[in-house]
Amino acid sequence: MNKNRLEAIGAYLPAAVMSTRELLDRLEKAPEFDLVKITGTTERRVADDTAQSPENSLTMAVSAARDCLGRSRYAPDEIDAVISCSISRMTDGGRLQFEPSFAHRIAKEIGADRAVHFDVSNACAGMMTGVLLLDRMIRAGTVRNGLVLSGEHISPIAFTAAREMEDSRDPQFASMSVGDSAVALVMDRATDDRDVIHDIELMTCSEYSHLCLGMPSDGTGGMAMYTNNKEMHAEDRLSLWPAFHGDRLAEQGRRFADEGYDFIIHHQVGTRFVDFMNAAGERGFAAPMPQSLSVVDRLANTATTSHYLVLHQALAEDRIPKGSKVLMVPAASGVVTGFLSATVSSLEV
Amino acid sequence: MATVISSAALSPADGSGSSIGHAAAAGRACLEQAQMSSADVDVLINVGVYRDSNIVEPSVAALIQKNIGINLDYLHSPDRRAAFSLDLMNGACGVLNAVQAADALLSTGSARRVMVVSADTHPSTDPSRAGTAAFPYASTGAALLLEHTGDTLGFGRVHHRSLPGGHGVNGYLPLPDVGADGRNSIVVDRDDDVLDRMLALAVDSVHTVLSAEDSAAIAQDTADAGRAHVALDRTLLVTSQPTPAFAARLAKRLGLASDAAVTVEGVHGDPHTSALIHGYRQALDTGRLAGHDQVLFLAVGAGLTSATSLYRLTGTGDGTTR
Repeated sequence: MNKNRLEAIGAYLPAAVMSTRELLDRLEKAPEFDLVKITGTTERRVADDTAQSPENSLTMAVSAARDCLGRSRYAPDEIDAVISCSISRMTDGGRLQFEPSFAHRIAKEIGADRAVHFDVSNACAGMMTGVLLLDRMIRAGTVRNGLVLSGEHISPIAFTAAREMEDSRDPQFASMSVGDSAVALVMDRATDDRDVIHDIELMTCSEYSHLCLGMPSDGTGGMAMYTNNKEMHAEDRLSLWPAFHGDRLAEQGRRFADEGYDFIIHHQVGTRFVDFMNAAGERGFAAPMPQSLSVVDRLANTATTSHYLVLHQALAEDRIPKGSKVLMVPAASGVVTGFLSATVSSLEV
Repeated sequence: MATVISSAALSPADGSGSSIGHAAAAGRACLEQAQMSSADVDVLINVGVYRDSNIVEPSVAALIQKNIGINLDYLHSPDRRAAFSLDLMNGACGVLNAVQAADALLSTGSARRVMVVSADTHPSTDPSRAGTAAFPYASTGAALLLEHTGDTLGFGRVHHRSLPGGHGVNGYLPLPDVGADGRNSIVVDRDDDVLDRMLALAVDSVHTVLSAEDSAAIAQDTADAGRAHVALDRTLLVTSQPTPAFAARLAKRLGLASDAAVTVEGVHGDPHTSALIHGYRQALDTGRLAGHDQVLFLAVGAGLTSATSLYRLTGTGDGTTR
């Protein structure tokens, strides 16, 4: 079969936990608001880039890659492609890196010397985009396998927001909901139907590309993110996924209700957002949603790694029986939506 | 089956300094040349590295997609055509990584047409700060429209090489040092010996691609410049342009005439991610593809890393499929 599989998964989480209370204590201008109620997030992990072994986007990605390769059948020098998908690309003491590519540095660090390597950047759909490209490259015979990974040291935008926000309606509000992490995946050709990526399709509705912008702050410095939450999460944006997903299935005479999805993983924007997405899915497909998996309460919104971090944590907690069919739905600035479905049996953490 | 260049275009030298504007202008010119509409693009890949205001989200490609007007809103378009856009970055080599990704998208039927755009600028978007000692890159952009054809012309395999040792070039925003001026700041450090190392890697990469593509005869003696000379007969070299003299120096090192490699002209600074498209377009416009059977695209950049691919020219005389 000309399909691929998720062959191995690994992750890295910084040890330091910051409670939502501690984050709110950092608010310098805005009156206090109930962030737990709005996002459902009680704590997040925060990388320490001043430690003796500094945690940043690069070092965390390398740690996740090593964790992943430790469970893979491939040695680093057998990896054909390395695709790094971080938004934050923070390294070397607060530098936002543009070149060389993160993928190059990671490949060198882990000893994937033969690998084709490049960075992908596509907001929170970055890892999903890396998986899509690698899926097509393996199917086309360009490479036999590959590593898709992302390290996100993104908590600095929360601290910029805490310094600069005027109130809870501030464009930087969404920045308060992020946390740090790294996830890595190895993919290769499927050998049976127990482990297989069935579909991965993505689309960008760029009419709305201006609704969420990440860039350096021109106020107090550091990285910042500015989001028009009202427009970003308007009914029409939420309806994009079921419309696109339903159309793509219908082109092949398939229906959502017949796909047998056991679990659904949405982007981890917050508990309310996940509920809204599931409601939009139920309306759009006129079908009940699969069981929803989430980590946003303890690990917050980890940007590009969100869906795969949920998968990793659910595997670690034995919440996904072998043979389960998992549906992932990205929702990213751009606006990017789409769907990935995969059956997982051999994937372990 | 191979991926071919349907059209190639450059951003006009209009004095503006926006990477998004450069890429979009080149993209529109590219579509016009191919007599296609923006709705015909299925996937847009942006390979630019240095961007307006150091924006990191959304993808710069999404902002370029909006500027060109490619399938903007799936829900409200009458025929529900979808487009997908992404940034793919690997310094000067990114454009050939994008060709490789596009080839996979096209050959698996995931797209019928892929547009690759490239653009760099000083983040301040002030054109006078581009192409300087502090920021050597030009403020410019370019675009390629790629499709698949049933014949053997077009791009061959993309080959990659990396050198051990230092990165040679480091481009970064030192956030702790720039305070509130992060949207207008960037640092590009180049090692003193980087050009010599780039040249050595380029020579090595040419030999790698020749031995891989041209089989045993060349593989026997890859270090021999004379053999490279024979193998590169009727081949035009289109390379990255870390300095204005780079292409000619490479030709010399390969034992070729200095005009065997294209030196990009009319651009203030290193055209960086746009260099290969600039070189290709310039060769088309000046009739230099005539008399050549193939183009050897070669990029060397930060890492150090290189990407190389032989492009067998299509038969229309101007090197494009239409």
